[in-house]
Amino acid sequence: MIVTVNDRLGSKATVPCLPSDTVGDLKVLVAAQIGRAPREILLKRQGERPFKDFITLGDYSIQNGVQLDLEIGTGD
Amino acid sequence: MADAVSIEQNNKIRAALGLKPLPVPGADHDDSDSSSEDEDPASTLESREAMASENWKKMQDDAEAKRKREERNAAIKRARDLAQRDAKLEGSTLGEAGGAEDTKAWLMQAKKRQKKIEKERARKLAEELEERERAAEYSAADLAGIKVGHQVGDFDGGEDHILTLKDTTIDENEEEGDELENLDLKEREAATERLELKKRKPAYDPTEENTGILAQYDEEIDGKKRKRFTLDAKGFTEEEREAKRQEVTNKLKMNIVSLDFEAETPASDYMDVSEVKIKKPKKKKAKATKRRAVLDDEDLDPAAESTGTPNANAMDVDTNNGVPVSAPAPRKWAGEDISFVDDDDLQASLTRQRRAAFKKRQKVRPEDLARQLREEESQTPTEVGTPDGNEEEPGLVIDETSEFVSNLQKPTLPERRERQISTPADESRAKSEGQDEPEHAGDVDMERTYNDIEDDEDLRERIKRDEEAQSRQHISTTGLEEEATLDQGLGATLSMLKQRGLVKGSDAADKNSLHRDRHNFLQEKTRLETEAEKRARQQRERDRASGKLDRMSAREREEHARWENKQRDQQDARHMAEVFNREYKPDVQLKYTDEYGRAMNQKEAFKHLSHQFHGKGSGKMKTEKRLKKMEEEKKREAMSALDSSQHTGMNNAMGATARKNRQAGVRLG
Repeated sequence: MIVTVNDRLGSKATVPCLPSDTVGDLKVLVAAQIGRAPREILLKRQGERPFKDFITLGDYSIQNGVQLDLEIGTGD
Repeated sequence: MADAVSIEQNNKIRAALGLKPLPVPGADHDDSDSSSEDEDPASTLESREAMASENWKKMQDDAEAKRKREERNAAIKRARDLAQRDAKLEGSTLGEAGGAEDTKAWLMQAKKRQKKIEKERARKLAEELEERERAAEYSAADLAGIKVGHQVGDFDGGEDHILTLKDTTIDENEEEGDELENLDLKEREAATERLELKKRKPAYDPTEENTGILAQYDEEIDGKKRKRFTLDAKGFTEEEREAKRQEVTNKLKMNIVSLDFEAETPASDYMDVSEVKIKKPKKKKAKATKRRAVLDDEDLDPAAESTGTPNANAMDVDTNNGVPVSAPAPRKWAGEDISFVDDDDLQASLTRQRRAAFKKRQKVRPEDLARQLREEESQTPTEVGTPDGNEEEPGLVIDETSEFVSNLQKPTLPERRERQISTPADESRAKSEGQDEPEHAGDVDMERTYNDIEDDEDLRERIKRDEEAQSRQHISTTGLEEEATLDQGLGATLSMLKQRGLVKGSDAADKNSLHRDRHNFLQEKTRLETEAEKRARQQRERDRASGKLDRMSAREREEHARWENKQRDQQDARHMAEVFNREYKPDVQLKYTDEYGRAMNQKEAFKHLSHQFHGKGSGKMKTEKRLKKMEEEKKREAMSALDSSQHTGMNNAMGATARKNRQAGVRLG
């Protein structure tokens, strides 16, 4: 499945992944595309709380073609 | 959309991260054969077939195993049942036993066996009988503690009553226990109750005893009062026993002293024959002779004798005339003697009666009482009664009748007492005269002629008058004390006025001491004056005697005298002043009287003085009011003390408070 990550400031990335991947893995993939350290990435659905690293995408019910918000995370 | 390149790149990254590679759409078809076996077993037809056959085989095996297991179980069960069935049939059978022994032995055995069986049966029967008997032995003891829902009095002695257990709910039964009742009686009670309700009685019946005004609500508040009693083991009711116990305690307590002696049976005038003890003192003889003398007197003076009671007062008057009268003396003496002897008899009989009453009322000892009770019980166990009526008498009965009777008797008492009081003096006189009576005996007729005969009429009248006065004095119609009157002297008047509150009891002691002090002071003063005068005279005498005056000229003498007088006066005055200061205690009283001579109190006096000072009095209305008030006061003072219509005399305070509270009322008694 393909997940789109957008920070609405100009950087947008589409990442192919599996539902069994964790959010932390996705962050590494995204970091490889946009050139930012994975610990500075914060992913969230719009209007929801940020995703936690150790939970899989399937558990967050993230499906093919979903767009996630990308923000700068503090790393903790 | 991500293309294949990006996916491949991604897969590289994922491999670096240690993640599962993404499936690449193009690569799927390439390695489907290689991966189909291990990844998807049911993807090909053969594999599916193989799987199906495997499945079938597996299923067949399972079924076989199951069947075998069930078979085994059934076999086990069958074996167990068989074993159980055989266990019942253990021991020697009839055929086997018969076969084993010979006939004779079997017969012997059979007899023995029969005996055994019979014994067993008898034992069982006996047990059963015993059980039945135990059940049938239903006595009064079984009824102990069971309540009966009727009064004891409801059961007439004549007929039998069948009591059944009361029909209650389980709750009620738990609370109250079993209760017996008779259906007939219950119905009768209900009927009477209905009738009572129909009667429409007034709620409060004042004639009924021991009921309060609100007695009608007792039933609603406390619930209906149930009449019931409880049976005990002997068939008595517990209430009966309680009553008996109460009675015993009453008897033990009942050592109450009755205050009136035989109030209901007046003493018989005639002595009982058994009681008569004839003692013949020599006094009797003397009395006989005297009696004869009196008879002689009676012959001579029937009129005087017929007047009845010889009166002590009359005799006193006779002697008071100053004439030593010996003639009436014997008559009086004889009369007194007779009455005296009469009194003696009366006293004797009274004491005898008293003693008898006291004996009868001797202490009831507890053991006697117990014995008596036991006897009583043995005679009639249930009956509650006392054979001795006297013991049951209440201590003191005050009812209307006895009160009435005592009121009737009252007036006679003082008279008798007076007579008794008057006797000693008279008696002594009588004795003194009785001693010299023998000498006078002959002269009796002669001496009594003058005084008595002329006094006869007077005497009779006086006696009558005295009696009337006495009766008037002692019998008052109302039972109250008669009001004091003013015709009895100053003391009586004063006491009456005090009683009515018109004259205040002053602090007499204080006043008296004050008065005495004053008197003493005056006496002392006069004594001092006379003493001083005496001293002056003595000094003058001394001067004259010493010749002191002789040497002086007339003028000098005069001068000297004047000087001396002055000196003396000074000394006396000083002395008097000293005494005055020491002893004089003035008693100051400001008393004002108005124009009618009434004493005025402080307020009135002030008003009076003020009016005098200003030269004009109060107006017409005020004067009238004052006069009216004075009039009322006068009227009130003149009113009887016993007149309760107005607030006077002895009910002054009460009347005042009543008037203040605006209450109407009459004070009774």
